[in-house]
Amino acid sequence: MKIDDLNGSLKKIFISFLKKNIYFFILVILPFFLSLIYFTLISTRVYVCESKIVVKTFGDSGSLSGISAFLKNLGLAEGTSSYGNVLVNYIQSRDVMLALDKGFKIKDYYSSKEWDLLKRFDLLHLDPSYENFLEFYRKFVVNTYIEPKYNIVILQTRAKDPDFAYALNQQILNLSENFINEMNKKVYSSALSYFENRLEESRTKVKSLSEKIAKFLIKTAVVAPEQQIGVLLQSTARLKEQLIAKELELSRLISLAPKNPKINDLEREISELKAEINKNLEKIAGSSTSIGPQAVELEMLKAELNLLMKELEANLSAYLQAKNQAMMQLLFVETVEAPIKPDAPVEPRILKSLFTIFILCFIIWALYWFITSAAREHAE
Amino acid sequence: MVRVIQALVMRELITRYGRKNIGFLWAFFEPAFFAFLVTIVWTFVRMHERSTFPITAFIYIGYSNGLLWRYTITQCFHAISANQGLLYHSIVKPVDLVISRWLLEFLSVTGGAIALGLLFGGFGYVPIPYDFSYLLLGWILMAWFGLAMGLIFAALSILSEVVEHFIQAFLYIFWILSGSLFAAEFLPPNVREYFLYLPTLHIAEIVRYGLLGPIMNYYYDISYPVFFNLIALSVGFFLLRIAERKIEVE
Amino acid sequence: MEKFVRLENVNKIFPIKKGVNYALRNINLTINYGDRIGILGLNGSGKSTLIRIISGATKPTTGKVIKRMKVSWPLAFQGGFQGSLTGLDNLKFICRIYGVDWKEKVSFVQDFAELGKYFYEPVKTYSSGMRARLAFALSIAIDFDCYLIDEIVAVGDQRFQHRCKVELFEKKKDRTFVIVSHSPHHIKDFCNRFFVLLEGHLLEFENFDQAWDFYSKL
Repeated sequence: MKIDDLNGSLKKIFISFLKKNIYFFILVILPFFLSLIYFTLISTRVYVCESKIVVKTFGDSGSLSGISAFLKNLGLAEGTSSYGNVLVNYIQSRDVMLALDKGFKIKDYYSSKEWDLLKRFDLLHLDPSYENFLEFYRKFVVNTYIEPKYNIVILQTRAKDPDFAYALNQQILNLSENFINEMNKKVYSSALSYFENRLEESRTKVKSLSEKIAKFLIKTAVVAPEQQIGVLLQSTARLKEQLIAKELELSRLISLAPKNPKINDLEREISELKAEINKNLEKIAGSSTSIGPQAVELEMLKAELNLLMKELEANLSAYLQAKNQAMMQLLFVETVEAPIKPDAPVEPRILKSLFTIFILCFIIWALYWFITSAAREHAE
Repeated sequence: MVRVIQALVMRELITRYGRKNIGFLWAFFEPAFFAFLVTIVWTFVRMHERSTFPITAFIYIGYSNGLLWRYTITQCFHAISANQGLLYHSIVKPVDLVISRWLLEFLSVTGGAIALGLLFGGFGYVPIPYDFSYLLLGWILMAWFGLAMGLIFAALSILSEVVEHFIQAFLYIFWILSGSLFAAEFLPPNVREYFLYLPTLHIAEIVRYGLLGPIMNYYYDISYPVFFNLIALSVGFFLLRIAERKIEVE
Repeated sequence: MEKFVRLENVNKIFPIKKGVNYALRNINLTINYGDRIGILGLNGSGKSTLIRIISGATKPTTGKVIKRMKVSWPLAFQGGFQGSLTGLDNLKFICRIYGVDWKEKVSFVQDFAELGKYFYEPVKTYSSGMRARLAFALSIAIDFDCYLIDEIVAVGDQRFQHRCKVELFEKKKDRTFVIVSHSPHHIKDFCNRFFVLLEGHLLEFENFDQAWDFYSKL
């Protein structure tokens, strides 16, 4: 009898408490329990596979110092992580999403019934288009952001199976690498094509002028045998090209690595080349034995040839420098942390989510109580 | 105790804001307006820089969060002296007076911050929080800090005659140093480690991370403000208990 | 459960310019439910301090106060009024903190305090008489186990004073009363325990005449 009484009165107390604080229950207790049930029982476990990549160029020493580093850290300098951004934009692009769909059928995968109601893509079949999926892909399937300290791009892929997450991550890395390579090729060749063209032009001009001179010399029977001069002139031009290239290389080495043993070899090669060129020039000069009216024309032609050779020199060094710079600008992708198959689900973070929901609901309820009580007071 | 605090909050509310024009809604409008002004000023100051740094959101959340302790200390300092007569009601304790003022400030600042956040968010100046749990955690920690400080200062208002002359200066200096308006990342590393002795800096970093996400480096350690708050709260209750014996109502 | 208020070895010491003031010295007093305590004392004897200690407004410097019943604030005390709040607001506040539904008490208080439409006006607009009447009305509206009366103040007209007497000393005559005064009438008529407060010491007497005798010789 007594226990029944106790039960009865406990119930009464509970019901009256409930009645008085009904909003507390609706706004706080109810959502809390609903989320408890959801997170512990219903929510699909999500596996996250993470990899870290860095996008660098040859010219990037990797660590900045002084003002640039300071500004970079402030986030106030412009274009601090432009390379990383290129990659992030690519990964989030339609192309990648479609490529992944082709390879892994990701749209179907994320629409599957195995996902709980809140996580599934297009639950109500309102908009199963790829446009809509693109948004889903960007928000849920992949997560990319740039770690500000070292400009590392972090790539996370999420799936309900660890293997799938791993495979996606790996594939995205491959696609990224290809993308960067393609980009490099395009940029490289387009940067150099201009200089390459001009260089070819110069070479052709030198070649045709040399031939002209050779023909002239043969015609005026100044020299013999005819072939050798043309060949000599062309070979001299080529030797000069080599000389310029080697001199550029030498100056670059001296500025970057003055103790490099290659320097001595280079210097030796340069002097050998110079000697051979001089020998050729003497041969050419020596073979013109007669002086006279043709000599003037010959001198004019020689002068023109000299000018063309100088132009060739200039175009060659411009071309070589452009090549160097283009090389410096080449991007390459380096995997700092390779993806590994996740062994435990990372989401849902039960405690964190419950905490958040509870506090949020509590604050909302507190504000609700405050506003309604205050409104009542105000209205008297 | 709960109903005493509820009653005190309502009484304080009507006393402070009255029933004229928007009445109690001033409770939200005051802090929101202040935060709004400060945020707008900072936004304009930085607008000529071409950076992508979200200055509006940064100042908005830092300032609103900081008000949780700043307003609280100012109010709680006078909580007992302003309402001494109420202590004649044996059911009303000095602790209740302090807590009710803290609660009023908390609701006021939080409501104002939400309203302001929605306003700024609607115009795109403030993003959807990156990680709500950190935002809430930081908010709770700061409210807790405010309560602890409120108790301590309320006790000091009774125990000491001189504190009231120094409190304005103290609040001003502490406000600047507290980290509500600058990021730990902006500090040079050797100075930063000293600033990190202030729990408010950790809390501000947590809140900013919660709103803005990993756009910059954050320096915080969750356990430090928790630890600090626990100790400060205990000290507050303890000091208030001692101060109670010194209270003389007229 | 037993209902009482007990003061154990209560001392109250105030620091003053030239040293200290021993307002209350080693007070030991047990007030049981239903007691009607009358305390006589000269000005500056510590009467108000004692009342404050019993009501809980002040804590003793040393010693304990054990409260096992609901004690009122000093009747007609107005320090708890918030001037900018209306009479009704103040009523609501009082009711809320004591866990009483204010709607039930509105008509009684309005009636008793005879404020008319001023009940809905800020208290700071009241005359001192109106304030006192409101304070009285509020005190009576709440059911206390023990009523503290610090210096019976003549408030209002004859009719009002009569009503107060009826409400207090007749309708609630089985409650506890602590009356502190330097005038003898009410103490003589109404109390059953008699004390004199002399320089902080509380002295009990068998009956009123003895107490009055001692007191008049001070």
